[in-house]
Parts: sequence; structure tokens; C-alpha cells
Amino acid sequence: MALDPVAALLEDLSSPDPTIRFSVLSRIEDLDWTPDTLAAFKRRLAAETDPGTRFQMQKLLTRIDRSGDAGRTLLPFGDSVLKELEALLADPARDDLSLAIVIESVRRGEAPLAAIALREAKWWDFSPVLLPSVLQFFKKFGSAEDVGQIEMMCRHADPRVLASAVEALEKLSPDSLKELIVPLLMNPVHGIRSRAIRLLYRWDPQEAIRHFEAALFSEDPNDRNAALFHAFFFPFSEIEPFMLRFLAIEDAPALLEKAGFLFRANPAPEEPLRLIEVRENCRGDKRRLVGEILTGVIDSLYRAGLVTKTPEQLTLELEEVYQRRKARQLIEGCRAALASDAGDIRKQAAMRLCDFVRLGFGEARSILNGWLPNEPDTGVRGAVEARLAAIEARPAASADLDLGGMAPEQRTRLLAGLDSERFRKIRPKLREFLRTCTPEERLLAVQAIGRAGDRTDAGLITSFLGNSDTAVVAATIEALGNIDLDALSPYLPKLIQHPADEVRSVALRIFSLFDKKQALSLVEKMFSSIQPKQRGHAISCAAQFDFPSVRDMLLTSLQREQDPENIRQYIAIFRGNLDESLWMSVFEMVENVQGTKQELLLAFCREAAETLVAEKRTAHAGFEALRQVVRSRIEAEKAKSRTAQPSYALSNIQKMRRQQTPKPEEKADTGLVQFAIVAFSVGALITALIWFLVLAPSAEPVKKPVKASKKPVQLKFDRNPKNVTGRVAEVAADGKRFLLVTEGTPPETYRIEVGSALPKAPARGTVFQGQIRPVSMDGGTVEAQLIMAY
Amino acid sequence: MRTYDGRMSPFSCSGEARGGVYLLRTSGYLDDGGGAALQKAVDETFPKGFRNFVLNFTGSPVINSQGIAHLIEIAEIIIDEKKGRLAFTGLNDLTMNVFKMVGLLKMGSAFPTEDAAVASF
Repeated sequence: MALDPVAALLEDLSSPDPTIRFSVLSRIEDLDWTPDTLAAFKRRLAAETDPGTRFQMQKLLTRIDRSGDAGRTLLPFGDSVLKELEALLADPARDDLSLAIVIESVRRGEAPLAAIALREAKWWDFSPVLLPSVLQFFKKFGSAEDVGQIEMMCRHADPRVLASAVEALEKLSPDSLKELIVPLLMNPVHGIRSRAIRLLYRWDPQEAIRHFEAALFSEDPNDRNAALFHAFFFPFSEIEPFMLRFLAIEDAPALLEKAGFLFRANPAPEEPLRLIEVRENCRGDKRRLVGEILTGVIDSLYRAGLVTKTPEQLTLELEEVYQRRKARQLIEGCRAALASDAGDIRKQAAMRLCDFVRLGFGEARSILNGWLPNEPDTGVRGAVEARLAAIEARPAASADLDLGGMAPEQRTRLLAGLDSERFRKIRPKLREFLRTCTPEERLLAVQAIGRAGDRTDAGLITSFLGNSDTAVVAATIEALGNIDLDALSPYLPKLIQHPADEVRSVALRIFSLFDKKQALSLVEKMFSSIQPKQRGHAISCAAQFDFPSVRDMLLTSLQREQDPENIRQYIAIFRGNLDESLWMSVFEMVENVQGTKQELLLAFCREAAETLVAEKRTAHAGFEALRQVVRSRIEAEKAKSRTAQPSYALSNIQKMRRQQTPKPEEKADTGLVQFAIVAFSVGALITALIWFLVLAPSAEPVKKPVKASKKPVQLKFDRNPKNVTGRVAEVAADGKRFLLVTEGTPPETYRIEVGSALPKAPARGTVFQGQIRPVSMDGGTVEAQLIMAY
Repeated sequence: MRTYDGRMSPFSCSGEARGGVYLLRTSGYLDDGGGAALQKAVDETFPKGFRNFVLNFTGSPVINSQGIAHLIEIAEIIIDEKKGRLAFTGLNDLTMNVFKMVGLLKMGSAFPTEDAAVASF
């Protein structure tokens, strides 16, 4: 049995948060030590720079040394502890380390006298490194008379003292913490804030969960780490949707692993399908990690006796269920789009359904059968009928695969139904064929390559990314996404800005595999369009992400949506991802809207309630019971909003934090810093270009033309940070400054001081990109400081 | 798969005295119900004079957040109220990591075997 808790705990000593390191230390005190773990611990001690943590580590080592061997730590003083304590307290030149060890060695029988001695010695004036030991003593042996002093310690500047004081007070007088909750939530140390959220759960669970969510999705990874550290203290069912979204968008492997423990320890039968969906929208290491969490959850389900099937059986079954469910959701989306007024949207949806027919989804064929006779556009109808005929025709014999010699209808049939075996046969002739074929054939050929080709075929189609036929461009992105992501990635920055909605949607979905957070923010931008059709593309784009990532975005945008066609698209997505919590969120909306929107959503809620009950996915009896729950919740919210927000409410705390944080002036653009980090990890080119082309806030406001006037117009010098790109024209001899001439018209000249942003100026003649802060004007040259180079 | 009308694996726990130490072996998914059952089992031993406990989780390979909450409460009662001591055994990779994360290893030590755990008192 591999039990090496010391080694495992030592890993946590590398946490950036001193309260977490401190907490880890207190946990490892009473463990068994081996020579190896002891040596590892000593190495950590040598590297530890924080004095408080060093003190605790030295204390532990001293105790181990005094035990005389590397076996168990020892409380060496027996009956003499009290005497030694009194002697040390009376000695002004005492050693803090010895005193801490003696305090921690006090036994229960001596504790009342030891407490008196400590009070008389005014323990609250002891050095901060000693106070955690005293507070731990009072946590065990303190009484009501110590509460006042301990409360004072809850405002101590040292986070270790503060954390120990909170722990002691939580034991001796938990209600006293109520008054301290606001300063604790405002504390600059992440671990303290996170602990405060945990405390708040005692009095106001709803508000505590809001704080937890904010910490879990904070821009600051230390906040996220601290939130995970305390996540075990919340009922998992209450934080599960946040944890799932966290898995979907978090990239830090260490945080993902921590989150994974929560999922594995709280297995629920409905979880694996959700995890498969998250995994399917990841690539590389993250995909592997989420896959491991999924395997762990399935294993836990089995070991906990919550399922009877073996993990292997269940995995196979769930993978199949997921594929069918996702396909059904996309088919539903296409069905809704067939009702569109726009012919091109109907055609696109029908062609997509044809793809599902080819994959053997009978429901797609039934939908097309019902729709085709009523399609008013003969062009659309003809194209879809031809595609269906091609898919359903008997495959050509292998011997007859002469693309050039075939009749056009035969070629269409062959390409539409091409499988791997026949693809290999026509592969040598494809390059030539793609040069001379019709646009319809090109589209089918590209789709076939995406289906049956491999990495070596990428070169055949990459040039179509610039094709004038948007359907071909979209199909090429899909195909390259399947066979060679690396070949596609350099083109993504341009493709996600493509004027055609269908191209942008596909490109965004692929881009999300590289940088999900940025991809999601781009989809969010699409939702803000005033054009219903563009919002429709945003919905279909969101449908291709894993649902936990887009759930909130969809619900928020649905609140604004009025277009019935789009609302039907939302419903198609919700139908495929139904659960009780989603039902309640949608029904809450039903109660606040009117007209067609209400009718559509209400019909969905009625149907969804039946599904939930039939599939035993709710404990409630049906629509009426579910409706009652939502109404009670709305009433409670209303009642709460009528009373003043408590001081610890998330909105108040955030407001206070904003007031306390000085506005950064010379700091690099945080969005850009984050983006730069991602750029270096997933391929600098794509992400950096996307930043410059799409996401970066405009460096300068658009200037209106200035009318000629007798008075010279004094343009205000803009000192705001800006992004610049240009060629290095000159470099100062000391390498600390350089002259940059930008590429714009007219070109601008900057004299940029490198400062600490770069070890030295870039070489003359090279292209430079970066963020600078203009300082002054010198003739026609802007004097600037370099903030960051990319 | 379990649904809302389905049944989770039954939880049970059995105990025996080993000198001055009381050994409790759990079996089944240790969730809210399991945690409550274990808490009851511990409470019932106090009148018999036991203060030191070994909890063997070999039969409970999965302990969820609510089960953990019960274990923390049990540990606090044993250590702070009853002034006793606590040791764990039968922890697997998952439960060991969870115990580490929530601080249960601060309240009791983990041992590879029952005998080692009992001998530690």
C-alpha cells in the first residue's frame, strides 16, 4: 500500500499562498518521517524565504531532532512542560522556537495553568512567529475569557496569525466571526478570503456560493487555487455546475488536478456524460487530464456501488450515448433552422442533415422527408434532393473509380458517399481533379478528405481556405480541423474575422481548442450583434462548444433575444442538455417575458418537465411542482432584494475592493499579459495575431476630421498605453533605447526606452511589436517607455 | 445507473475493541448517510469509556464531501471534546489526497495497516 502522505503534503508547500503553506505545515506535524522525506523537507526549508513559514519548518525539524530518530516526532517534556513554560515566559531573552515547542507540548491536565501563565505573560504581545502556536493552544484549551484577545488577532497583519486566530475563534465563539466577515473577505491574502467564504456558508449559504463562484473564476490564479482548497467544505451538488465550468475553461494542470479530486470523491451517475462533453472540446494535455478525471469518476461510481456495470462497460456505453446525444442536439438545431425565412440558412441546415443521413441517423432523413415537399425554393430543394440521391446511391465498384471518365451525377454520388477504402483508390487523382472540378464537387471532395483523409492530405485543400465559395472555406476548416490542426492554425486569426458567418462560426469552434477563453469571448461578442441572423450564427457556434462553457452565456443572451427563429435554436440546445437546474433557469425567464417568447419557452418547459420526470432526473412530481419551486425561489429573491444587501454581499465586497485597488497606470494591459502567456503556450503566432487583429482595445480613439480654423488646433497628447508595430530604425549605443518607425500611413516615429521590459533593444532592421506608454513629444518623435514586447 | 428512485450501495460499519482502542471498519459509499451512521457508531462507544479510535476505510473507497464533513465533526468530537486520539487506515490514493486537502491528517495519522494504527496509541 503506497502511503506517503509526507511526500504528498510537501508538494503543497510550493503553494504561492503563505496561509496554504502554513496550513500544510500544521498538517504534517504529526506524521511519520522517513530519511527521504526528512531530506526533502530540509531542502524545502533551505529554499523557503518567508520568515513565518521558515519558523514553523524549523520548529518541526527541532521537534524531530529532539525525538532522537527520524521516526515519529516527539513531545519530549512530559511533566516538566509547565515548569519549562513558566521559566521561558519569565525569561526576556528566551528563544521563540523553544517557547513554541513547549506551548505545543502542553498536555490537557496542565492546560488550565498554562493558559493562566500565558495570559499573565500577555501572550498577545508575543512575536508574530510565535502567535500561531499560542492561538492553536487556545483553540484547544481556551475559554470565553480569551475570545476578546483572539478577536483582536483576527485583524492581525500576518496572515498566519490571522488564519490561526480565525480557526481558534471558530471553535471558541463562532458567532463572533460574523462581525469580522467583511474584513476577512477583504483581506489581501487569498487563503484568508477563501476561508472567510467557507465561514460565511454557515450564515448565508447562497451568498457564500456567490463568493465561491467569483473566486473560482477570478483572473488571479491564486484566488482560484484558494477556492479549490476550500471547495471540499461545500456540498458538492451546490457547486457542481461551477466546478464543471471551471474544468471546461481552466488551463492550469495543477488546478485541474485538484478539481479532479472533487469530482472523483463526489461521483454522480450523470457526471460522466458532462465530463465527456468537456473532454471532447479540449486538446493536448488538458484533454488527457479531463479524460483521467472522467476515468476516475467512472471508477469511483463503480467502487462506491452507485453503478453495477464495470468501468469498461460503462465507458463504452457512455461514449456512444454522448455521440448520439450530441448528434441529436445538432439535428434538432438543423430542424429548427429549416423553418427559417432565409433560403441560404435552410439550405445549409438541410445539407447538414444530409451529412447526418450519411452517418446513419434515420431521424435526419425523416426530418428532410417532412420538409422537402414544402420547401418553396426549387433551387434549395433540387440541391438537397441531389445530395440525398448521391448519399443513398449504391456505391460504385472499386474498379470503376475513374473520376475523369464518370458522368457528373456519378461523381457526385461517389464523392458524397466516399469511404476510406475508396478514398485511398482515388487519392492519387485528387490533386488534379480538385483543380478542374465544379464548386459542388469541390465541396464534396473537401468533406470527403476531412472524413477519410489524414495529415498527408492537408496540402490538397489548404489553399481552399482563401476560396471565394464560403461553403468550401467552412468545409476546408472542418476538414483540416479533423486531419491536421497544425496546418490550419496559422490561418485561424484571419478566418475568425471572415465576413461569412458560417466560416467564422466553424473557425471559432476550432480556435477554441487552442484558447477557449478567448474563443468564448469572441462568441459573446457575436451575441451582441443587432442582426438576428448574426445572433443565430452565434447560437449555432455556441452549440458546438461543450454546454457547461456556454450555459450562462446562452441563458444571458436568451434574456435579450426576441427573434422566434433564434429562440427555437436555443430550445434545441437546451433540449440536448436538459437538467433540473437548467429547467428552473428557463422557467424563471418564462415568468418574466410575454408574447411569442413566453409561448415558446413555456411549451419547452412543459415538454422538458415531462422528460425530467419520465427519465427520473428530478425528485419533483411534474411541471406544477417544478413551477412551484421556481416561484418560491423568485419570491424569496424578491423578498431579499427588498431588504438592504448585507455588507458581506459579493457586490458590496467587490465595490470595496475596487475602491481599495489603485488604478494601474504603467502596468501592462492585463488582458494582453494573459493573452501573451497563452500565446507562448499554444503557438505565439495565432494568439498574438488574434489579439492585435480582433481583441485589442483600439489604441487611439478614432479622430474626427478637424475643420480648418484660424486658431491652430492643439491636439491633446495621448499618454495612454498603445500597441505599436514597426521596423527598428536605429539602436542607441548603450542598447537601452531604439527608434521605431511604424508601418501606418503616415508612419510615426517613436524613441522607445527599453527599461526592464527587455534585456536589450531589438536589433536594427527587425520588425518590432509591443505595448508602449508615450511620455512626451520631441519634434515629430514620440518619446515612449516600453511596457511589453511580444 | 442510479436515478432518483434508485438505491446507492448500502453503508455499514462494524466495530471491535482492541485493548483501549476502538476499531471501526466502514463498508460502502461514505456519503451524508454513511457519515451520520459512522458518527452514531462513534457516539455509542463513548459511554463504554473509549476515547481512542482507529477508523478503517478499506471498505469505503469513496468518501464524498458530506462524508468528509461528518468525519471532521467526528474528529473534532474525539480530539477536542473527548480528549481522545484518532488514527486512519485503509486509505487509497483518492481518499488520502482528499484527507490531505481538508486537513484530516492533521487530526489523525494514517497507517498502512490496522495493526500499525492500533499500535500507534
